[in-house]
Amino acid sequence: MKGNNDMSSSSSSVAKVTHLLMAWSEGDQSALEMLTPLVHDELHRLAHHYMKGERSGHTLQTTALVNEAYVKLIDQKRVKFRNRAQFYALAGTLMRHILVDHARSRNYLKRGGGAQRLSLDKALTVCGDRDEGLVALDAALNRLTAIDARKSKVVELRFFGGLSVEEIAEALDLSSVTVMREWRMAKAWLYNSLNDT
Amino acid sequence: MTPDRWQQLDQLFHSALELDPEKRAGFLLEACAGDEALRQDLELLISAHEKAGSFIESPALEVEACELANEIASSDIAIGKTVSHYQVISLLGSGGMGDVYLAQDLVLNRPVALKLLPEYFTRERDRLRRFQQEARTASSLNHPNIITIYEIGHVDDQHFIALEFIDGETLRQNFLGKGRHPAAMPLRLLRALEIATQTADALAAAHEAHIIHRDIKPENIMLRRRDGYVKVLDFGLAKLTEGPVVDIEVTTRTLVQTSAGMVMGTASYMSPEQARGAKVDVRTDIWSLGVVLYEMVAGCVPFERSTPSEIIALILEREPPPLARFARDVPAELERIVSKALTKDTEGRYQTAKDLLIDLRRLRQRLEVEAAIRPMAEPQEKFDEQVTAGRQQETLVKEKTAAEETRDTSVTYPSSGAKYWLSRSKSHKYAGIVVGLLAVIVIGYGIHKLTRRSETALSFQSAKLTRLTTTGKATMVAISPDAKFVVHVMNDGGKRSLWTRQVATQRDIEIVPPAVVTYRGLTFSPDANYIYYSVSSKDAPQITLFQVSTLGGTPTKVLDNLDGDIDHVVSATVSFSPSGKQIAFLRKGLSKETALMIANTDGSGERQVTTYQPEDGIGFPKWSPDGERIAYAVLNYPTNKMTVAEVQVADGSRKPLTSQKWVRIFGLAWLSDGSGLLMIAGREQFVCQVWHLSLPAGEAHQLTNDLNDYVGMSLAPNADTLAVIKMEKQASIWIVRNNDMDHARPVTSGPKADDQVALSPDGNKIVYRTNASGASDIWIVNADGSKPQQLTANAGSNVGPAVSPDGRYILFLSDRTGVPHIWQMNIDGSNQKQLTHGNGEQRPQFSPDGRWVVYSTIAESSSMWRIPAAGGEPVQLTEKTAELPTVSPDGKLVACLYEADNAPVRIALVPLEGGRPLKTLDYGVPPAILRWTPDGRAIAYVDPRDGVSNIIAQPIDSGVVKQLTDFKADRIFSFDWSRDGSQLALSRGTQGSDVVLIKYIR
Repeated sequence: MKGNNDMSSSSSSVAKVTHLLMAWSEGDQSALEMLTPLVHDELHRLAHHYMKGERSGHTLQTTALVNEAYVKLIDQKRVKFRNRAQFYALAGTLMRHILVDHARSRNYLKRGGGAQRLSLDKALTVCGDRDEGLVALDAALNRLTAIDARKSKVVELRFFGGLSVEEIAEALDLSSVTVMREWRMAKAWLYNSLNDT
Repeated sequence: MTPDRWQQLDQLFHSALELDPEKRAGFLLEACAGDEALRQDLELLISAHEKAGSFIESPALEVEACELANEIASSDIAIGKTVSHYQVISLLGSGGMGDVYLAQDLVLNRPVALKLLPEYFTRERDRLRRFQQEARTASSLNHPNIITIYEIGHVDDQHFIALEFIDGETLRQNFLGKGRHPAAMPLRLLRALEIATQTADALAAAHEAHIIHRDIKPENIMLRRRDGYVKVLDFGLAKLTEGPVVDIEVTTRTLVQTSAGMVMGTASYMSPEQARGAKVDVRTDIWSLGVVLYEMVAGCVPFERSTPSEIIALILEREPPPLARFARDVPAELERIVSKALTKDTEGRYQTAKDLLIDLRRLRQRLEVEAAIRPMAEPQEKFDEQVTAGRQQETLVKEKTAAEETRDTSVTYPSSGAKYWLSRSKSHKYAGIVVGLLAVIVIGYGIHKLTRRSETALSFQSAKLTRLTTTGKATMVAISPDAKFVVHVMNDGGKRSLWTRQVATQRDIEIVPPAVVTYRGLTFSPDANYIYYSVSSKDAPQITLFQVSTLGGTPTKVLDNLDGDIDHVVSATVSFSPSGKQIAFLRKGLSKETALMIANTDGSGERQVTTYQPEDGIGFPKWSPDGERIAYAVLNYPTNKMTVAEVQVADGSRKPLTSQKWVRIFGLAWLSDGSGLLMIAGREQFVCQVWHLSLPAGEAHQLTNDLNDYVGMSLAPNADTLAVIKMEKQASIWIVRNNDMDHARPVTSGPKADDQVALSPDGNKIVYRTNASGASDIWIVNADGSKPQQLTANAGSNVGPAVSPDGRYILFLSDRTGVPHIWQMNIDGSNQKQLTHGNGEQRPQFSPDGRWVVYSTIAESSSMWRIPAAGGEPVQLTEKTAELPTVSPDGKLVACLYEADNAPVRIALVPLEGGRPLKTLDYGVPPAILRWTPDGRAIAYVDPRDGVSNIIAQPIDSGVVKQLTDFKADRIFSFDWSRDGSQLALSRGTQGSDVVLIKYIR
């Protein structure tokens, strides 16, 4: 449980994230150990926000909070990478890794523990539309990679990395139009794939 | 699916989507031309497209956060329920062992802490049985320092433990702050011992019952709110979480998979045998308690790294640094106790908690007795002053080479931690004081530093500045409370005189004639009729306080033997009580302690208010407007940091007024309503400026943000007028080619300070810092003086440029983020990027191969580091204090100013890889800048002798010091060579100090 961080510590944590991301990109696995809790902190912060009464789901404020979390975690402006594209790609992969892991361990505990299960109503009222589990999505995305790696990458960058279409275009050296096309098809394919099985 | 087919699918999918929905079916039929499988796939995809809606449109972070929220919500459903005869009221906390709730025992009608075990922990019947057995044994423990277990039970599959409810906080929350960075909470030594003693007592009782805790850490030590009593939690519970893991990797991974914050903590408190995964016994708890005790005293854990595996490596291999490194006055006995508890070999450790308990108790009793005998210097008071952040920094340069008289009224001052002497400017030829308000300037005054200012903070935004003197020789100032008179000390070639200016009539009167004395303090009496000044001289080194009429006359001696010289900053001002009947001043005691005294204005009725031990210097005592307190500046010599504190006149109790620290404070004054203080203070390498310290918040805000140094001040609070001594610098860039001094010529000109210079390796471009734009920025100019161009703008202060060996990049220092960090930009100023992210860095220099940037840190203690120029993790090069790094032309050595423990500061040559100095050199005068000579055989620096600066070179092997330049006037602020040594760029100019009045609007 964390106390209220002051301004200075949050700015230094951004610096830390950048360092860690770079270390991770160079193969330092311990950097991941350090990054994971930072992402978890953001998850908890957001989760508590949802619980505090943002019952209607995707309000502007919520969107802002999520954006803020992404900025905090992967603010490209502070990055000293030679090209930002490399960083974008890295951030997407990293977020996918951590979030899927988080979902996986959470599901595991739930399954294993059989803790008091939550009524579906509650889930809906708290968060609006209930999306497919991240774990299943991750698996589907792996299948998509085998067929069309670029589409899979677009989804990774947008959905997991929280990047805008323009940023994805920059990262993959594509036009925004192409990115949107890839996204549309990938989304349909994934939706189909997840509801099929 | 073949790539071709997939591509076909992709194309047709998008083509279909472009059509109106009702036309799609027909289109598909036609386009697929009988390929029914393709058509079906497309139908599916299009239908999926239409149904998908918001699917994966919200970012995954949000999706996962929602899931998590659901899960937390699900745990909330316990609230309001009744488990057995316990009604759950609220969640107290969560841990690896499940959630803990506050609940009401409906039978005994008392509050309990109810721990609900998650089912996945209890489904392993075997482990559960073991756990229950142990918890039952633990529940048999009856000890005041162990939390009482009321009941262990289950309802169906819901296992629970009902515990004594403690209204309090954990040791982590209460003392050590949260997270892995313990706040700078003052922790009293006696209290730390008390907590450790009670914990040891609990352990002794448990161990006697053969119960090992296994997880002693600050999170498991509760302090009861009511009386601070220690209650140790979770006895015997740790075992449940313990798997059959043996190797470190698995241990680490297991740890990482649980909540990360806890993991770090847990690894830090592990005993070596736990870290190895070996069998543990009661001695593991002794180790962990040793770690907790260490942390309470030092403010950090003994084995601290960023990842569990690194921590474990340290636990297994390293000895912890001695406590004395982190806190002063650590009793030797405490070092011994901690060291014995933290002995890696279990046989060398305390064998029983009882032995540890006895030693702790004995030490605490001894300290209590000592504290009672020495009420003025009780150990806990000293602990309040402790700096948490580790390494001690000795005052970097304590040169005694200067004669007493050069330790003048505020003209000795430090820059970037190293002190150097500002010579008396000889460029100002004015014999006397030019009468008249020469410059009346109303400007937007230093507003861009005030972004985080609170609403009540004072602002100099529309302040009116009036220059009172133009001699460049004013060294100390006082203003009368009504702002009608200003008195200042003028230093003309070491002879100092005292002058009164009647502000309205612009009349100047010499009230004390020139003499070879040093003024130590200057104050008006509240009625403005008298000036109280203190002086000393070579012949009479004792500081004596005199009183003289504001309009001149014969001075009268008031008091003898004052103190007031904190590390060359003169501070022996006296301060009047609001009634005007008493004065506060400083005296040095027999054992070098500084005493803050009060007395009647005639010197009678002297009384001591408080004293500081020799490791702290205090200065600038200032009586508060309500008369109850006296504020003053404190310099902690070991850390070389200053802050502001106050003492109650009535009972001598004192407290810090702010948690902020500065490297220098040059003056203090209360605002009339007591809402804060104005001060002249300087942080790190940036110059001293006017600050506002608002009270009681203790927040400090910089009011001025210009490029000059302020070195003295006096406030007329009711007239909203501040008199300051402002040092102004004029400097331009000069080029000397092929050592031809006769043709040395300026490249830049104008009334500004171009005072830091770097030369591109080919010598064609000069990069420099200037205040030409009104802010401190980096500029570039061709070596022939053509095409000056500003590279940084509107982004804080930018200083200290260095050019990369390939001439393509510039390193510089910028405080645009609020903290001075090293930044890099292209030679044309584009692509400005932050390179370091520490607590403050300075003096960046490239290695000759351009791969590394070497720099020193400015936070807490200056150490030397390097970081890849392309960005990456910094590597520490020196453990000791080291500053002003410069890399040798062959890239092998870094020359720096270096201070080993208690050894004088020397120039040291340290390998670029880091480590101990290979060689150290003496120097003549404390350098403010170091450079290798281009041949790599000497270290060059500025010799400012007699106010005329020249560059001298000190050979690194044998040989004599050689003077490289032959200037006859002015000072040199900075210099740099081209790679081949054919060109030398210098920043040369003058520096003077004058009295300026600042009339501000509140």
